Amino acid sequence: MDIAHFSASTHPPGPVSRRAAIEAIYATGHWLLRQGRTPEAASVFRTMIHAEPRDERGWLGLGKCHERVDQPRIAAEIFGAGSAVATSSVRLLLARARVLATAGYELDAERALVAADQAAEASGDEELVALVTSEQRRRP
Amino acid sequence: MSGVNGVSNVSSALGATRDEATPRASDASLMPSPGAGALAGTDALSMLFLLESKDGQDSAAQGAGKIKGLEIERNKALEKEEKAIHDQDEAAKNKGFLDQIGGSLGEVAKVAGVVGSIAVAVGTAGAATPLAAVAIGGAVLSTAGFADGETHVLQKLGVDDKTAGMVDLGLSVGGAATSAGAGIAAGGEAASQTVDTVGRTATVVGGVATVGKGVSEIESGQALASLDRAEADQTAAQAQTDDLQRAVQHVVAGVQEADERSRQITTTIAGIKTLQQQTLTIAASGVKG
Repeated sequence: MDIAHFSASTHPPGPVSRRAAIEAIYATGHWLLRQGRTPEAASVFRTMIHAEPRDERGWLGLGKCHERVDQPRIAAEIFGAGSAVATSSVRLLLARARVLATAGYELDAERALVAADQAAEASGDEELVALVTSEQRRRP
Repeated sequence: MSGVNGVSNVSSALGATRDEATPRASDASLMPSPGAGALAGTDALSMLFLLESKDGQDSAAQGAGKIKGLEIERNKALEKEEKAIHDQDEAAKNKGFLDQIGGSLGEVAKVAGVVGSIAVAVGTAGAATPLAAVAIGGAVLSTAGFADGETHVLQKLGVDDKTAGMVDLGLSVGGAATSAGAGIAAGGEAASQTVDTVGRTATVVGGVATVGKGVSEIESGQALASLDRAEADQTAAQAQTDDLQRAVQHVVAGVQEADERSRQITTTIAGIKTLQQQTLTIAASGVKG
């Protein structure tokens, strides 16, 4: 596959939508996180959260960054705050349940998982329901 | 700590074919993969920067007024809360105080809710949404976490090891910027409702007083026990006030930080653009080579 067309030199600057800008920001943060460049990824996700607080992906990414640096409680806060603004986000509730369970807050994790289950059912999205079901099976 | 949620492959978004570590089967990703070609746009970050710059100018122009208004409203709210506590004391001196104490504590709780609502007003500058407050709070907590470490930051916010989440306590992310912001965002129009009818987090903002009210109603026939309870509630209410004051101070700090945030965003985006250029160059030369 010839991906030389991705070179910026062959793409002169032009107007883009805000949506496209957000997608680019997320892709950048996602890539940095996958590369293990956690502090840089966190900066990118913070920028995304400022720009589009209702987008669950920014919160998911930033929380993940804090998990990576062994800060589960801050991660839980990030996921929780994200849930407050992206109110129907099953993924954020699940992420919070996971990190709380890992940190030993079993009761809080269980509450978050129940909330995720309810949100998934309410959404009617089969993928989200499956995610929750999978998570429930993983738990002891 | 092992990853709680993995990171799904990003290769499609970059157009590259990196074969990075596949998430473990038990570590299913909760982060959606970026859309294909998300970085193929040429100058998306510049556009975002321009939008953020405009927002930043608006924020700076409104910041001073918001802070001044906050101080006035906060003082008024605290005066009301002090009066409510005083009324509670007076009620305790009377024979039939148990009949009154419920209402008095309810007032304390309601005022506490008003204090929380100030944070929303600050965060939104009168706009319809507290999202900015939540976002700023989240970013502040994140930045502080990377700079100072998790334990240190949480200690500064007065959160002990037994506390799983500040959001659950109504203190929420970033101290206040989020505390009230996230809580009331989740709870609805908390400021205009009694504490009995608002959502869970907002209830916790005035939670001690709410509990006290309920207890006083249930135990209305147990004078001595209720008196002890009332005294304990008063002490707890004061502690709650302290928490709220601290939270509101964090909101002020968060607003003041808005300008700094704009500058940081400028720096961040500039850095991202550099990274993007480097990434694309590497990807392109890798394929060519």
